[in-house]
Amino acid sequence: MASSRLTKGGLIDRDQSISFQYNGKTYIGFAGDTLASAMLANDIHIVGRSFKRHRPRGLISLGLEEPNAIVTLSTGSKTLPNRIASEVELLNGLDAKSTRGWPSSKFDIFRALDWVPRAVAAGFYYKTFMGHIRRPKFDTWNSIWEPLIRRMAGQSPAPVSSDTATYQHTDVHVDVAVIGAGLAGLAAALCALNSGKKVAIFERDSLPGGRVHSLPGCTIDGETAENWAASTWGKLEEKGIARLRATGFGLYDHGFLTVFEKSATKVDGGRIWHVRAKKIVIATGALERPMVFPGNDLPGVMLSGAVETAINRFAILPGKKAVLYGNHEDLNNVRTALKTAGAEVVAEVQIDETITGTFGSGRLKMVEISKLGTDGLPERKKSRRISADLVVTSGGWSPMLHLYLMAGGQQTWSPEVGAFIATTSEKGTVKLIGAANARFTARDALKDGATLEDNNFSFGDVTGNNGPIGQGLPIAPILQTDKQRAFVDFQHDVTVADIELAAREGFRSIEHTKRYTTSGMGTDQGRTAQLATAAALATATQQNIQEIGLSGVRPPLTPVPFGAFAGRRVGRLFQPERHTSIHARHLALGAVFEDVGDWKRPRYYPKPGETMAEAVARECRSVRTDVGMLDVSTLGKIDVAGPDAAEFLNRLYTNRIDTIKPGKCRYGIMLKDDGMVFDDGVVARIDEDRFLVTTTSGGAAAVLAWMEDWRQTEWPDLRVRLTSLTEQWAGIAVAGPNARSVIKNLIPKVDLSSSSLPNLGWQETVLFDQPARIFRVSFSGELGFEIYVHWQNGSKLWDAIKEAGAAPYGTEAMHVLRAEMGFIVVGHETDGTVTPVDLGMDWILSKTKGDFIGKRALKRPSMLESNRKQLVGLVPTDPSVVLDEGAQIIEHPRPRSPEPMIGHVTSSYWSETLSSGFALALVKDGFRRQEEKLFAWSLGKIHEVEVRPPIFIETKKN
Amino acid sequence: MLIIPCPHCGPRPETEFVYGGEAHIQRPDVAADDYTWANRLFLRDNVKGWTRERWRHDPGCGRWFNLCRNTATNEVGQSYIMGAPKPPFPNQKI
Ligand SMILES: [Zn+2]
Repeated sequence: MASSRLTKGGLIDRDQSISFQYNGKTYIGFAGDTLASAMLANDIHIVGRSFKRHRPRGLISLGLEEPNAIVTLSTGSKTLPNRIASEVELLNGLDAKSTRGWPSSKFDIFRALDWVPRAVAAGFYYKTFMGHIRRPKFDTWNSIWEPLIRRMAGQSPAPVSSDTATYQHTDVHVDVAVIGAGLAGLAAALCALNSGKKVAIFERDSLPGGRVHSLPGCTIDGETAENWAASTWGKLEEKGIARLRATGFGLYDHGFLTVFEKSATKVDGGRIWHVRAKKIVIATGALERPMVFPGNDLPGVMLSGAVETAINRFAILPGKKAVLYGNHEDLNNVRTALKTAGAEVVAEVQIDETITGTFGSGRLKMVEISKLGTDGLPERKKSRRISADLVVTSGGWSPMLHLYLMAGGQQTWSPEVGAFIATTSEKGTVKLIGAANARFTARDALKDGATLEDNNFSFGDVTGNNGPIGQGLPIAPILQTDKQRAFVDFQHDVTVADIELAAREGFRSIEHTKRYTTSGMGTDQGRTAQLATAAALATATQQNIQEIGLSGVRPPLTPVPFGAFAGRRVGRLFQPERHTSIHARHLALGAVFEDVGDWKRPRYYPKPGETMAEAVARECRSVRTDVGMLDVSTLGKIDVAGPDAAEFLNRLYTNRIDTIKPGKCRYGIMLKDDGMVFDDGVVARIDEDRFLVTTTSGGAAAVLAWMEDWRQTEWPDLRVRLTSLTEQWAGIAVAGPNARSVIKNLIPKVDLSSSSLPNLGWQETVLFDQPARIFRVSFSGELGFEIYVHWQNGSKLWDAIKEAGAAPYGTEAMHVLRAEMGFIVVGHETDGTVTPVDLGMDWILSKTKGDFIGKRALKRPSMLESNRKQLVGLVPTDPSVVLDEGAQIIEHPRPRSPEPMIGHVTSSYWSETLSSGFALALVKDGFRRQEEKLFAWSLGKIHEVEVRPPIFIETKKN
Repeated sequence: MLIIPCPHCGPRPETEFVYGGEAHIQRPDVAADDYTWANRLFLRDNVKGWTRERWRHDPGCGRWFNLCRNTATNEVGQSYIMGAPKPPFPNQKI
């Protein structure tokens, strides 16, 4: 048995030993241990190295405020970064590594930094590296400094494999949600339960009861407090929701609480609770604050509460010769605990004394205590040195207000309590109780919880150890001579000297000082650092601590794995895919898919051995010389019906819709009211009071929402109804000179000749015994039809057309073909800053309509300027070049610095028909630049291009 | 996360709603001047405190309505259907 472990007592099971690894060595702990307590029991004193100066650090607490014992856990090939050792339950086979220190926490080559502390003083990063970033040629930042600092700083490395653990999300609605199952929380939950309320209680520890396990001897109604806590918990579990290992990490508007519950049996996995409660009760207790003195970070300096917990809960004696140092007089409990466990209290620092140094290499050996002079400064001449292996410090206790502050609560300095406390214990539906509400004794905490509901709930008498926890005085950082080694933030290595330096450099606000010095910015969110930082800044700027205040808090309160937020929405469940009814056919043809909105659309269909370019060229050739077929089921389809349907659409589209005759359709474009292109598609008139509108595949939902907005809010007088039909119809486009002959036999009842079905006409027919529609539309410049059938007949239609001789083509060929004709695609040629005029589409703006959405905005002065970016075609001088989409257009072959960027490539492809690359681009004043030579820059490469009209192939007469 | 009272469906979580910006902005006549149109298109009051805004109960009843909300505290007040007169803000301090 390890030497620090006591032979009896504690809440550990000595019959159940647990083997674990720390930094590659095997150790033994017991059931009931945390990783931190097991480390302490095994005399692991150095648990990490400090952030900047790489000083050895030990455990100062045994709770969630622990700043030093940050570990990476491994399970299989997976790592879990930045875990607080005191929050990790000991499990068999646990594999932990210290995250700080390189190559190991015991031997650290960056320790040299500590010899010159000024090298890493406040603002060190800003001051040292600003210049480097501005001189990219001498970019030592990326090549040297950043990798080095990352290695030095020693946060856990990011995991390299994906998190395969299962995380759940559970939503609950309750009357009362209690966070924290200390005495106050238990009393409040029981009180609410007795009032017939639906209750949920969450406790981050693996045991209910809070501090009762650290401070034994308290009895409640004749029962030990430990038993009272356990039996109360049992009642809550039976009649409500009661979860251990569950930390409330965020409190949001309207009583919305988020809780992360760890797995009880594994190091990974867990559950996020989304709790909506009519009343939120915060019973999160209080956190103890360390004292600030030179060498207060040496392993062997511990908080008094942690020492009590070590002895009483984990049966560990952290030191044999203890020095007590607090700024209040409530060290009785820890003194008793130490003496009972067999330790000697070798000194108690008196009110007119301070510690001026700690000595020892990686473990405390000696403490120097000095008298304070009349000027408040320690006089080291009047000092005594005492051999000791433990300094027990307590700078008082701060109510844990994090969740209360997240809910919008305010805090204020209380000289009586010696801490920042809540301005009111109730804020809307949020209530603070117990130590979080500055009710520090067992009796006060119970009473505070038991009066939650007005039901005369009583917990009986509280006798014995009433467990007062120390009410401290503000930790005025005692005027020190050695401020360089008096730490306020252990995790980020911030000293009193750093805070003073920041103050000298003009930082007065706590929020600015925090960011400049990085005090309180670690993974522990500065739980042990906040007050000391504020006190040091108050002293340095001669303000009082109330004026300084504490820095803000944000969720999550403690690190929560990303996997927990993702829950089950990972892998295929991350975002549902939409498949058309023809999807299986595309798969069978070996299609390569692309994402269009949530849809999977075939991009091209490679034959064996074919490259993408070859496949796309072949597919384009089919359409231009024979006939191709494309699945267009994904196009958005909206049924617009009602007596005012024509008027409604007339207001939304830029062109006339009311003049479309039944049996005809028209290409239309919609603008936002600022005049910018929003969506385009074909509008077909079904009959007098019914239209079918098609939208882009990705824009269907947005277009429907847009239409609903106008229908409901601006024009409620119009009698019109909107229905999404996107998934009711499957559609296939058939395009190419032989399109008509291929589908002729399929649709015997429709005369497909131009006289019967002219361009932009449509007819209804029956296919596969159900209604079908044939549209004469083309997005390629070739003779084209779109055939729509009932969704369930999509594959039958596909098979029939393919059988008849059409060759499948994908969206990539579709893009090439449309770009050759200069047809725009919303989202390629438009980006929310492009008007129809910029696209050269003035013809689509009705001159006979009084108003339409976007009409007036097109007349605003900035819309009329001549140097707007306008749509042009580009052909590279070297025909083999295919420009990058997004390439910047410039005027000079050798760009100056800064070279004005006059435009960018919006679409670019290889044209099989032209035997050349070609592109569409938006270029400033583009309409007037025809035949000009410009240059396209992309990733350092420059290509000469010629400006052309944005149409590359002559329109055919079909 | 807010709880928003849909005038048609009752209180529902915020995730069921789509935000639609400041309410009661009139669309000017097409003949109105540039200044009036610029105001309508681009300028919003961006109030700190009680304000009226548009929301749509998207996967619920699908309807647009107006809601009183305090942008500083996230308290919500009355919701009311499109076209209804503006209700007063709750008598609460900002
Ligand atoms: Zn609704």
